[in-house]
Amino acid sequence: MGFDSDGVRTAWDFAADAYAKGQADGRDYYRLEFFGPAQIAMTGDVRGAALLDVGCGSGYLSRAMADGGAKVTAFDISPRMIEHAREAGGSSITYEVLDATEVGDHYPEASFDVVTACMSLQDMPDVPAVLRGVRRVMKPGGRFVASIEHPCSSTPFREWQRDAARRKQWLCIDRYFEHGAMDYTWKRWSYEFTTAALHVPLETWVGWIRDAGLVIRDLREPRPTIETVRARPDLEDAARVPYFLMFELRRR
Amino acid sequence: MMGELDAAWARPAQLAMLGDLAGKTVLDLDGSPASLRSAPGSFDIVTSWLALHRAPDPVSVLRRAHRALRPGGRLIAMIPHPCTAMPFRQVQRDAGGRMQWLGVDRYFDGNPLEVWFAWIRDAGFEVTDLREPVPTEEAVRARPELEEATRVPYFLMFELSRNT
Repeated sequence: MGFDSDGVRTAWDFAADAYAKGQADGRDYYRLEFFGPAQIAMTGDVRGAALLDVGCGSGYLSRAMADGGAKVTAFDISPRMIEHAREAGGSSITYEVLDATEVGDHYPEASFDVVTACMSLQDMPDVPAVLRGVRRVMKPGGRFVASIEHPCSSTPFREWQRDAARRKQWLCIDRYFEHGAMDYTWKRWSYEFTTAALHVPLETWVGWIRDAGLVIRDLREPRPTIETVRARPDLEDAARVPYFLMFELRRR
Repeated sequence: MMGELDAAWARPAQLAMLGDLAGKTVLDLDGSPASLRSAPGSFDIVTSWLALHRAPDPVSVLRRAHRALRPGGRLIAMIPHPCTAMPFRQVQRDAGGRMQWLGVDRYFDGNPLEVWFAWIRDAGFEVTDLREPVPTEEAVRARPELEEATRVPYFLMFELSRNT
């Protein structure tokens, strides 16, 4: 499947039922117990904010933002994802099906106090266009809080070296400087599905951010706490190497 | 392992980031730390080459560099890349000595990127550019052992601007 708008829509439409079920039944514990709360914490106080959630999927972060008192508009390229998001409740949230490359034309200029993107940007084929569009719809002084897969561990070659007892010893990485979409197959969900995500080096992300007229105000690498790992031992690897990267961006 | 002593190949990348130096006042942070105290707000550019990460207190060095720069001035610095300079790292090589992969672990026991960004922000700088230099094809032809530096990032260069 190609890494273009049609390919992305088709892949996530197919994934949507298993993905939404995984959030409802706790299978998606990386999000529910670790990086989701980290992004909510970094986004901070959103009471009364006009907030746009970019690539909202089945609405995990949109609902958290609405619970935090934001007036939430959210969109995703996948119609089936948006159906799940609507079914999951949060009647105050405005959900739409939209290709993120159109965000800058779809909403009025300077209309959002806060924009969020929770692990969605790397799933988009034209990130520079999305960033330019987001900047346009941000109010001056507004914030854009985005999380992505960490480029340093999302390398085209990545594999945990394991010992005889199958314990993870260290992460093997290679091909960091290659640019491109990599397929990832989500196993042990209610059914298997495959989606593609972009890997580019960190310098490319930083260049895209700058060229879109945005400034990095904060950068975080969330990791699970000792308590979280004790309760969910499978998250231990995320406390050893950086899996997620979060930015707070402002308009220049 | 790509050591800091082998980093001469990254000099052209640093020169490119420095840009045209004609008529500019430049302070080499590594060579003359004492001058940081004597001339506040007088430099266009401050540079540091693989030294900041060894400073006992990098944020205080960054603060002093900030004071030494005029408003609008830039700090160009290179550090070992936090994503490969982890407390555990190991190169797997094949029989011919070529790197198969780089093994890494214990990232958060070192100084992660987020710590560097916090230091940079706390010192009053804005990150205006970030580069991960790789050796040119010519450099790799001349020294085949540099090939691994084209596959994993060994160095990180920042351009930091004094905007306040």
